[in-house]
Amino acid sequence: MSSTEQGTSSAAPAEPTTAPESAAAPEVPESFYYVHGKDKVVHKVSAGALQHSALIHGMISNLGYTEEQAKANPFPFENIDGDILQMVVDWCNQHKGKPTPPEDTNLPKQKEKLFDLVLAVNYLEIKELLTYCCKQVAMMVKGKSPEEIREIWMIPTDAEDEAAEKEAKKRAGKEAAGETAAAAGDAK
Amino acid sequence: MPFPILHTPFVVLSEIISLLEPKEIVTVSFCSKKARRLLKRRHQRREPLGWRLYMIDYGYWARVDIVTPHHSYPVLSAVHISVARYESEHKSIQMNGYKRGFSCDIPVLYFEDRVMGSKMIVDYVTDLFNQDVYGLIMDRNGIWAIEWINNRQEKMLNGLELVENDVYNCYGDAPLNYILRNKGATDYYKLRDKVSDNFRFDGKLGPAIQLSIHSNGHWVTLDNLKNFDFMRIEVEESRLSVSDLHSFLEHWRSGGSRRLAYLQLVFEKDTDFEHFDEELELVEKPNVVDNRLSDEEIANSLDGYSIQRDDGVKATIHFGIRHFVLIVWHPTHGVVFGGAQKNLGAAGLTIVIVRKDLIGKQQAITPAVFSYKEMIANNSLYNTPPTGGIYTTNLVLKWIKSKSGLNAIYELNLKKSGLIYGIIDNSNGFYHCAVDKRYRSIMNVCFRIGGAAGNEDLEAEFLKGAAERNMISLKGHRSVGGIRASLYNAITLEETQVLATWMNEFQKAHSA
Repeated sequence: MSSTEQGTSSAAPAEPTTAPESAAAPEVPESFYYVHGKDKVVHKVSAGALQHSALIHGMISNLGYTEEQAKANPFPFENIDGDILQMVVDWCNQHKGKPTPPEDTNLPKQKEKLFDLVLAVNYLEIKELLTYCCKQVAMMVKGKSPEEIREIWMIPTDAEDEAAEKEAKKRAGKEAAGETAAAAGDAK
Repeated sequence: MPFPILHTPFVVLSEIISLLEPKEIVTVSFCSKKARRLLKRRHQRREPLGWRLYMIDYGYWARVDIVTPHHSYPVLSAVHISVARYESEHKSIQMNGYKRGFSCDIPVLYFEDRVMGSKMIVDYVTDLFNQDVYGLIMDRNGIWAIEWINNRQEKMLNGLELVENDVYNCYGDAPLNYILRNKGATDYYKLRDKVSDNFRFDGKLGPAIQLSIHSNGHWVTLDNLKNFDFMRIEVEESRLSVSDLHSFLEHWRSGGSRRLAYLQLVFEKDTDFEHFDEELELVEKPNVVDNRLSDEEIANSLDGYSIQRDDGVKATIHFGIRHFVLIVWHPTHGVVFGGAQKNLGAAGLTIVIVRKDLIGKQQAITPAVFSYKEMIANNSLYNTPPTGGIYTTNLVLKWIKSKSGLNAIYELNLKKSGLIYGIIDNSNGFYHCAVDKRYRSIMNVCFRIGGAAGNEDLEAEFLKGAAERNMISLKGHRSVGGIRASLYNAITLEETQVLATWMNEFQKAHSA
């Protein structure tokens, strides 16, 4: 009776001893990839850091590039400015392999670039960074009146919206007229 | 540095909006028609979880609040134009029919006509968030809003709260009477306006969840207490006497106020409870399992006098010179298990309600597919659930609610079955029901025609005539024969009347 009890109790702690081993297991050498933005400046980034970007992660997970291949084929992001890509890469490196704390302040403070940053982060699908950026955008209007918000978020007034709509209609009308004129010209 | 929000991709915009507080959403909606349309469309698509919208109509101002699971947010208010010059920090802007300002953090609309202002802000916010008004908090001048809200939305108000306003230096008997008689809410009533000593109410109130009379509860009589059908009743400044309480407990013990789970009275004057317990017919403490309360709370609650209802349900009483509390220990079921069958939806669906503390205590041989622990741990079923059936049952439950709930359906079924059993019992044996009166089903009424053994020729003729009157499936179960009238929830009283008429007609033709 007592021997079976001992047996079960000694079997229990066996499990956790294996856990640290498996955590320390990946001794695979880190692989690197290369990205560049509009300015063609190439950044070397580890696969671990790039994991934050669902877009890039999806691209590289099926490639199986060797170091040379990766170097020869940097990923071009022509729609992202060089300095923005630099910010994103820095953030990815800083947050490599760890979950972001909810109140992460480790972000470039350049507010002027926030819009470009949001677009880039959204494109690259970096979820945590996007949430952080969106929080900053939401914070901009705290305690502000509608008139102030209109300035901060560049929301046109009804009158401006109407004018823009009229303008668009006019242009569409002109283009249509131009086309029919051109078509008429062809017919002649 | 401005941020051109309207140029962001849709996903980003949605994320930003989801990070805004309700009042910020309202403020942004005032930026332009386009911004408002955008916000409105978002809330039409997705209902924010657990938000409740309250209308507050009080003296010279009205407000709409949104209560989320974590916070309560005032989102928009309406005040009389005369207040505008003192309040507005930012300059107010002339809009169509009103002025808009921005003070104390929330948008304020200024109106010449306060009632119009109240209506306008409720219309605006309910439209923006695609939500009904959940609760109304008003002083006696806001009584008009009860009917107005209940007329403008499909679902009735959940709750009403009548607050006191120091401006009125007189009694609010008429508004209170109006509230009690018009029964404008489905869940709760909270009443705290001043009422005169002469105020009386002789009607019923409920069924609903909570009734709180926070002050001025002196008008509540023993009869009132018996006729309030609530789960929770609180009365302050009560003038009920010790003998009233004895009568009430007698009423409860014999099955009255069955829904009551908690009663709390705070007395206006010191009350002498000496020898009160001697007349109580005390029983042993109940064995309580209630996972909403901690063990300590249960122990404290049980520390009083326990009494028992005729059907075995126990309750515990506490009292002091200024208070009286009754806690009813409703039987706690371990598992409620039922087939949808016909009354709750299409056959093939099973509804199970399991008490949390029993989960994980299944027998060792229980297959994973039947284990509630597995289902809860994975938040999923092993089988593919019959989504069509689940959807139908949801519709049926909503329908039951719209018919004023389970009790109303029960009453209706009593009427329906009573109609048929009445004819059977008054037929001098022409129709015969073999079931003991005490155990008769109000769903399936089974009977034979032409005596206890049944006359199969007569029964065949009865069924033929019934089919001609568009009633089918009245033939009894193949194992017993005879007639079986299924009066499921979907059958109306009018339809039951058609059967009753045919039964009377048939009997007249054959017993002559």
